[in-house]
Amino acid sequence: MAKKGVRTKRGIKADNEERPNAITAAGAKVKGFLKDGIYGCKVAVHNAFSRNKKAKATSMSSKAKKDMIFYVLMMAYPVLYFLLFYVAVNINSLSLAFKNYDIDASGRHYAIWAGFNNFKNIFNEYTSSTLLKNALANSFIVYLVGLLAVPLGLLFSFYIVKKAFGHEFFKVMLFLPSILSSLILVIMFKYVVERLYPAIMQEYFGREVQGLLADPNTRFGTLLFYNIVFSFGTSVLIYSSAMDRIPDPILESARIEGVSGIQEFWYITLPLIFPTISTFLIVGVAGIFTNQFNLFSVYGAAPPSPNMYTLGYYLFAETAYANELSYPRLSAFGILFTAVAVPLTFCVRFLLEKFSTKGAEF
Amino acid sequence: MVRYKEKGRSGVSNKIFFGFLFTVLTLYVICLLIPLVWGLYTSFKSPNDWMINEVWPSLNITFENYVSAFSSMYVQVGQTYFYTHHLLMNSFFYALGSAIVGGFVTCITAYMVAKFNYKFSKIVYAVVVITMTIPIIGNLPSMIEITTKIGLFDKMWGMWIVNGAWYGMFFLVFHATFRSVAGDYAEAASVDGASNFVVLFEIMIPLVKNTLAMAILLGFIGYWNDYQTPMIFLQSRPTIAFGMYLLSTDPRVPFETVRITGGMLTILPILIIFLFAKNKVMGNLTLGGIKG
Repeated sequence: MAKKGVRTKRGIKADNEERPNAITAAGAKVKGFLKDGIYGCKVAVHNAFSRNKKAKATSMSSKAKKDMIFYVLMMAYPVLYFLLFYVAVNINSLSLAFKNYDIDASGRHYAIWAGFNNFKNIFNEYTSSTLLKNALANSFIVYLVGLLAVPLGLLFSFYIVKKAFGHEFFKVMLFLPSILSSLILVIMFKYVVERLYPAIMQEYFGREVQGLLADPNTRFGTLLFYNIVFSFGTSVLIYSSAMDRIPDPILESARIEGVSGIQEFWYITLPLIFPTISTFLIVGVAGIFTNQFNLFSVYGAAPPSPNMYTLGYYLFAETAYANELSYPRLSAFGILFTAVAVPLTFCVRFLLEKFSTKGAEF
Repeated sequence: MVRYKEKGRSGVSNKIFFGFLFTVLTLYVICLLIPLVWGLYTSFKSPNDWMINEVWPSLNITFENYVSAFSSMYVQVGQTYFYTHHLLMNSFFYALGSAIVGGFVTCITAYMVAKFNYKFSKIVYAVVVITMTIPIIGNLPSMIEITTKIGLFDKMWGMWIVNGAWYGMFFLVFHATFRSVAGDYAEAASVDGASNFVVLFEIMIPLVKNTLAMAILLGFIGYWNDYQTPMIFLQSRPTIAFGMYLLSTDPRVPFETVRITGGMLTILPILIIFLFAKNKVMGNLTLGGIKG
């Protein structure tokens, strides 16, 4: 049976319950104490909670401090390295270009301000001799012919990504030249065209011929051939990785539409990996000024003809056998090449961005 | 892999397309292998056999060229002679030290930039991209001057430092890899009281060990093969690649077979490494991290 009464916050109070006044007063006092006690506890808990919060905030800031110390410690070496071997080296290179070294009576080198003399001398050298003119022309020829390797590399990468017959073997073979010493490959190639080729011509065709690198008519073409054939490797690896990342649904829907391999390569693969290709083309521009055309490996410091020089070979060979007195002149060369290479690189970048369909990185 | 139709017009064009590529690739492989295979069997040919027949392999296999190459390959620095075993040792220390220092510095810097979201990290990343875009040419004389001034020139440990340039392509690879690695492990370790050093060396670096191994391996191969940098910067500790460069032009070497054998001797260690770590060296390299 349900109790009759008034429902209060504290429960059911019986209607007929009678309480003496004293007890009511004592109850009120206890209630008051309890209320105060509970309030006190609440304040204490609140304070404790706030202190925790405060403590937590302090520990967070100490963690941030530790992170910062760790960051500074670990970044100190790389930053110092960069300041020394990039910033200082290039500033020094720039300042060297405007200096000249001289020797005092005690045989010690000292620097003197040369203004633009080093640059003037280079221009005089350029106009008075054919060596630098040929070197400049050869460098552009080597670069432009080397561009032939780009479509070939792309087609080879496509072959590998499509897992066509023998793809694993071809992948290894394409990568092999980039892990083998270029010097040894050049030496072996030199023997093949200088000894094996004349021997075969003599033995099987009865013709006495010069080696392909010894013959003035064929030596440049032979080196160009070498430069293209042995230039794959990292590029194929990166192109094929980029092709590998093209999502399958795109290729699947193309297949349903009935595209052939060549159509997929031309209409899907090339546009989608264009950012990777353009990165290669942009970075490659500097090669015009740095490509040694393997001349140092083949001929050392003395190629059979000065007409074969490239700018990269010229600069390296001069530096390798130079003493301190030549550094200002060579640095001026470097500054000049950089002054041409930087805007050229940005031009190529601008053109590639302007005249290409936008690709996508996956 | 998505396969093409094998029948119909597009099937025929596919066969022609891939058949053409197969032919070009086969020609390429022939061009590549002729010097290597010819060099290999010539290295086992006696000088007399070489005089008679330069084209084909000889049935009389001999190791005398290897013995001669070992003794004829030397580099004289002042009064000191460096023979083949010295050159091999120098190459080993030069390549290993440079590759390890370069690999770790690049990896750690990329981790700091990728995981610590400070403004400075963003600046560092931007600077790396800019330095990679701007081609600076001809600073070799300046580099020689600076390394000489700070005492790193012509010292093995100095070359380890000089070769430790971290702002290259592998920085971007590591950066992308660390970005893609979830921070859960590192956070859990931090909550358990692990220091930043522990998180880096015991959690994060093991997570990217494949990429790091690839960077170190490729670095080792590159430094082993490089003869031009030691030729200029490490003249008193010549390497095998530089020894081979001298051997290839040394008129005192009596037989061509010895020169060819010297070349084979130089590429042998790299070929062995490549055969054992082929997949690691040729990992699926992308600027968005390592896949597969």
